[in-house]
Amino acid sequence: MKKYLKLAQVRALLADMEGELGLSELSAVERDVLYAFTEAAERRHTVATRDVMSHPLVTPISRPTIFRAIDRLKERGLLKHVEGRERGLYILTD
Amino acid sequence: MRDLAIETFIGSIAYIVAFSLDILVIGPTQSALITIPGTPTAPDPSLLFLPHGVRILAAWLLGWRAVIVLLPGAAIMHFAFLGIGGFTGATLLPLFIGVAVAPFTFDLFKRLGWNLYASARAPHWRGVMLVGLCASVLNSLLTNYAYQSNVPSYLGYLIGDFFGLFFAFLLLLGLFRLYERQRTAE
Repeated sequence: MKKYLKLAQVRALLADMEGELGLSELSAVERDVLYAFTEAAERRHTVATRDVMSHPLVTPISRPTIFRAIDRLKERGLLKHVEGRERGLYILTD
Repeated sequence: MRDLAIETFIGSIAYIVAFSLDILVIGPTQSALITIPGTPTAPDPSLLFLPHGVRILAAWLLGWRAVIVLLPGAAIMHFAFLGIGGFTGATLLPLFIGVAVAPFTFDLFKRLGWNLYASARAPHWRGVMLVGLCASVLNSLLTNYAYQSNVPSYLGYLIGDFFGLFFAFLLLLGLFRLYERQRTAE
């Protein structure tokens, strides 16, 4: 898991660079949600949506916008839903 | 211990690949296109020194552990460049300076109240670039002092480190995008 965390941290740094340089394929909300997942993943392998929603970067964002951002991150293969588990549990992909 | 061994393998390979790209591709291209005035000794400093990007990313992620992680790769490239003579006296210093200066600079920023390590805060690309620039100034001053280089060489190394870091980020960005596109296409 630790190696995936390092990779996710590099991706989050590059996402910040993309945003600053206007190269981003992710919106600002998607970047914030991705970062919240990355930080939560430092504590446990699977991340619950509720953990992400309590992150300071994400709390000002409305719930529907957060769920749209999660869907987009899933589509891009950055997040993966944990199969066979309760709804709202994700892992960062490698 | 196993994690450190894996990190060392990946870090050192990344360093060797970056250095090899520099020697085999960037260096010859640069020599064919431009000559840095006032640098009589060959080869000219690389103006796109990718290993600096590896050093900064490793230090950003791992802190002082980056020294252990990068040292084998740096030692191999040091040997490839200078042979066994590179491991004696003052010529050995740049090897250690090169791998230690990035975590030292991150630590310096942390002590001054701006912790930019990956584990400390939301990624801050500009902050990491600033650390990269400061590390490059330190590295350039110390390495060129050890090699007794002239002023154009100092500037050349400085420019090479900074643009090398930036280009390394762009290269990683491109690789991630390529990987994501391939995976989406599958």
